[in-house]
Amino acid sequence: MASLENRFVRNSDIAWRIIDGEALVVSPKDSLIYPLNGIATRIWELLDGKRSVSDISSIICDEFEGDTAVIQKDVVDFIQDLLKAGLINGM
Amino acid sequence: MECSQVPISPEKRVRKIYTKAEERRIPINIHLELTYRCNLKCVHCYCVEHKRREELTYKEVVNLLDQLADIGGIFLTLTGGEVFLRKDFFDIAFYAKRKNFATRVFTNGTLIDEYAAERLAELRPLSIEFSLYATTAEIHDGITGVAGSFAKLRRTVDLLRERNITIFLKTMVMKQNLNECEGLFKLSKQLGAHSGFSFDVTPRNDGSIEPLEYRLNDEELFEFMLGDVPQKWEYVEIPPHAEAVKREACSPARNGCAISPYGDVYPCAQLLIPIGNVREKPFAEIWNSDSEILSDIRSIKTFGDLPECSDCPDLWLCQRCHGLAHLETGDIRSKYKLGCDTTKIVKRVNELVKNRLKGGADGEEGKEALREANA
Repeated sequence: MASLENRFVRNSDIAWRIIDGEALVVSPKDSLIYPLNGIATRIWELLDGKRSVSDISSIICDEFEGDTAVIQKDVVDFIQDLLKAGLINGM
Repeated sequence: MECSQVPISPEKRVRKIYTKAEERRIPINIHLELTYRCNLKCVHCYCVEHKRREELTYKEVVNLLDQLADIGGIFLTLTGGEVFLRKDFFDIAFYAKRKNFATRVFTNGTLIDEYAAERLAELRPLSIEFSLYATTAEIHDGITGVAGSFAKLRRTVDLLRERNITIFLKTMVMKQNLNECEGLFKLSKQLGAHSGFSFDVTPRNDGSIEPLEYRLNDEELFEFMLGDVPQKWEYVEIPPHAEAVKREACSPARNGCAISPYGDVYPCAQLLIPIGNVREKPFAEIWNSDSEILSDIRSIKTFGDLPECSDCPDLWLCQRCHGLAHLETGDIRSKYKLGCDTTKIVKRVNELVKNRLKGGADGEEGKEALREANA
């Protein structure tokens, strides 16, 4: 489960590249391709194992417009999705 | 904010990224040939080793990978020749992994032992893809020219299966192995591997045509295309010509390219017109140049851009390759015999299937359709 104090890092088996502001994330395990939009790409970049989910939420709140509580929930949900898909690992 | 929708392979968005890559000229697909050396002597092989030229060194390759990553490359095919003849293969492959490439490896599978299989499992590539020509050693080894190559490949496939690595078994269908297709298809399924079949034996990279003697003749190709492997041909409805001519043609040098072991950059692996060499110029400078040849290649977008093909009534069924056109005629926009001959066969198959749909496969209606197609 992803919660605000947890830290996560991108799975080193996962291939990815940011193309014109949007990340293309490729999982070799199941050959699935995940195209991320701009905000999701920014979160993906921030998942370096050093920042907590809360830190990432704060950065996203600073950089994008929206209600803080909604953004925080969306960030947690998104990270939870990444975790479920095996694209990131908990620290 | 919409970041919570993590869609799994939504085709439209992936297509959008490919289109964007094409529009912005981002080479997301890279075909990197690490060597033309090989320990097999496949009768139909198109690779010609340039013994006087030096392969890119490890240092040069990793420098190139840095440049490719910076410019947006992500799908990387490491191929040869036989890549495992390079002693630094794993150093290169793991460097590519650290640079976040999605890597596929093409190999003949004869040089992979337990240790190499273990390292491949650590590498976790998208796939390892082998050439398998038959279900028996006699035919496979006859094509590779090396006794024992079948047994070694089969052992390698088992080693990789045990490690849950995605495997593709790919077959060039030729005269010698036309009857093997069904068996190979079943074998792939049994081994949990993906299978792939191609009949496009091409001239060698130096233009010599010896491999073409192994190519299926018209009747053999017809038989192959009508078969169940890889799948039954499904009737293709041909749109009015005004629509058909807008059909997209192959698009080399728009979202990908090929790079030879000597650093030559090509628009694709089949279109062997060098557009620069990474030993002489940075990759980005080559890729972003407005050279006449590169502009010409990139200007081919639809069949309407091919003067000799745009009036062809069968262009909707055509599988043309600008590289083969260039190899055969010296002109990337030209029609070429290999392509036109194949399209005639595809048309015959399509007509026959159409007739079968009408229930007339064995009757006069079917024969008449075939006569028309042949005419």
